[in-house]
Amino acid sequence: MGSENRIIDGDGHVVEDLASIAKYLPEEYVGRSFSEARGKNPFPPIDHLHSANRHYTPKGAFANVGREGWELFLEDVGIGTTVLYTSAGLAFGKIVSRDWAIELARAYNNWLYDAYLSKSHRFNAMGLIPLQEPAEAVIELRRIVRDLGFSGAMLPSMGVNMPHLGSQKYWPIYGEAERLGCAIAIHGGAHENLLMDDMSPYAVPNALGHPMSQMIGFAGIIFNGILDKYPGLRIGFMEAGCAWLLTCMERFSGSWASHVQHDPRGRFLQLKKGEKIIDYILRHIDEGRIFIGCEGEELSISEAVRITGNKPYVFSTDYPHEVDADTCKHELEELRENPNLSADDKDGILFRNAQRFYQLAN
Amino acid sequence: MTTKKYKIIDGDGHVVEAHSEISARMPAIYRERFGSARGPYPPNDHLHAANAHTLPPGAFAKVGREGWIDFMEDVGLTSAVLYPTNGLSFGRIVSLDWAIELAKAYNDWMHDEYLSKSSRFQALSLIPLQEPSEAVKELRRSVQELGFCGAMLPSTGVMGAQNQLGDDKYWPIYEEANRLKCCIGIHGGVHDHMGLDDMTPYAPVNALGHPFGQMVNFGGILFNGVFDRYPNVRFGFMEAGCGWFTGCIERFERAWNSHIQYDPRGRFLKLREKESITDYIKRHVDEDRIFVGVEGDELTLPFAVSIVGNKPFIFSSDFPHEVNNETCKEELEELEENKRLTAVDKDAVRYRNAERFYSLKN
Repeated sequence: MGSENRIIDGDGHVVEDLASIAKYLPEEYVGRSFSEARGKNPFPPIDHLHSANRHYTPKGAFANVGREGWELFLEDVGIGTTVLYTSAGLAFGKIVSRDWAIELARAYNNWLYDAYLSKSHRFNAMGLIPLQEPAEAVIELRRIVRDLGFSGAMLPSMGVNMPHLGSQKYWPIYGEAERLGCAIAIHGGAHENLLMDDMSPYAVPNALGHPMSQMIGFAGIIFNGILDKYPGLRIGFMEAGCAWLLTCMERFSGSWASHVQHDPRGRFLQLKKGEKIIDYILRHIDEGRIFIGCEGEELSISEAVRITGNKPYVFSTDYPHEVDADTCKHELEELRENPNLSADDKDGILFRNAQRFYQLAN
Repeated sequence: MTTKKYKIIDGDGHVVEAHSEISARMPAIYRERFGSARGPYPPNDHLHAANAHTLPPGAFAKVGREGWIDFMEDVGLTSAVLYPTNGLSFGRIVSLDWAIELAKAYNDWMHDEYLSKSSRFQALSLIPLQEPSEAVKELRRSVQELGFCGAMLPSTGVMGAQNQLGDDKYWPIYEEANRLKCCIGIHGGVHDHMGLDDMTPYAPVNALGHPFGQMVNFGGILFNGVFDRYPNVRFGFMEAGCGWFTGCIERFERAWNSHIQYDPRGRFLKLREKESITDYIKRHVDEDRIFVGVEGDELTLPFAVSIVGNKPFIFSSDFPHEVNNETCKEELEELEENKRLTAVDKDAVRYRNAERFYSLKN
């Protein structure tokens, strides 16, 4: 494999073939419950901000390119393999029927396995799990990792009445992920209830919704000691650039020092003697516990690497969302030409970190 | 090190309000309707209470005018621009009349107790943004008759009532500020309804609540063309560090390019030919339209200066909130010892930028 084909896309998307997924769902769900108005879509609407606001996305954005389209894209851009995430399922946290969540996660995962993973080794994937009912999420996580070969599961960064992702509610999921040695990735997409419910133009919710929800998830996970409690767990924070991580490091250190939490029952993170929050985050990055999706051309990527080292950053195309082959090539070109990153940094971002996060073979 | 060898302006200090003195300036009907604990102000949110954490000694002390002067003498500050403490929750007042009367009373009290007593005190006023036509009157009165530098707008308020601050509801305020050539300082403090409502420990709420409010309002003001429409208004985004600012530049650039807004009525910002969002922000930084409050020891400060230059960043003590004399001295010392900032950068942060933002005499 040439050096170009070693590139791993750490966060691409399938656009769901809803009719095919429906075939994997029990008849009770398909026959009576799908709305014609929503195109028989078993996924809930993502939010009010994604619709009724006219804007143009790059040509081909959100096209259902299918497996062959994906393979053509990988060839054209020079990417070896990709890790696939959902599109419609980014709204998975908004499902309120637990049974629906259980069945839909299973159907989506089975469809993704049959249509992609079983057809080409160039496809890897993160599954959906019914986090609404963690005991069931644990069962589905085990099934998809052991039986279907998924790299782990995606958790939506926002949902309906979802506790923050450091909440005790989700600890069984993290415990199972640790046992399985698989990855947990957090991915945004639903941008309401983040102070932007009246925001226009649309660019602002897109720009800020991803990092804000990642910052909340990251805060909950860091401060509630998830990385201490599950020392084998690897967590990725996808599609939000990398500046938010620096903002968290900047802000968390100051706030933790100035608001010294009373912790009589040892609920929260445990710093080592003399360790600051920033040291704690750096330690867990160094230990391969924290990964950050980036597109490679971020304004802050060089500064982020300077501060944290190159180990967390995972190149991500976002294809076929608001990108196409040309914009992805451009991003790769910018990354390769970045004079402030070393060859080792670039290799880290382009494939090494994804290999470690998703436990992919070299 | 002594900080007294430098000129230093504190661009964001706080008074802890004397409720009885403020309420004495309100009509009697209002005075009879509130208790002594919080005075005439609504609570910030549920997050500031019922979560045990320890603050630095002296935090939130009612130091009064004399205490403030002692602080400035000890730390080596030339002057301070004062913001409220309880008034940070001003956006949560739902009675329009209450907001009008309280703003007037606070501003009169601030003038009588601080501004008229020492030239070392400047201040931003409270204005009843709930009713912009009344806010215009109070802004005019506070600037022209009482000598305030401008007004503070709370970054967050009542869910469903306070719009993002680029909304045309607030344009009459900016129109008046444009006419008066005064500044508008945006300040956070109310952290609910932004995805953190179940977050514990408290530190991440403090860490993220401030930048979230600033990110959203910066996006709203920027993309709704407020800088284009009101070319004399200077906006400051206070107490949120600077990581959020470069994060916005990173995210806004990408999102505006990938979500090209249809704008048939010219509602949104106007880029010049070939100008990018980053260029647009830099141009407005360079033209003294955008200022950012910092404490001087931020992780990302040198990077932010490398991206936008040193002109926006204003040293802010936050005294007497979660700081005291010693922590402020440490912050100033860290700024002084920062090897990645030049002497010119440091002077800009210490006083030059505050002079321009608040139109202070040299």
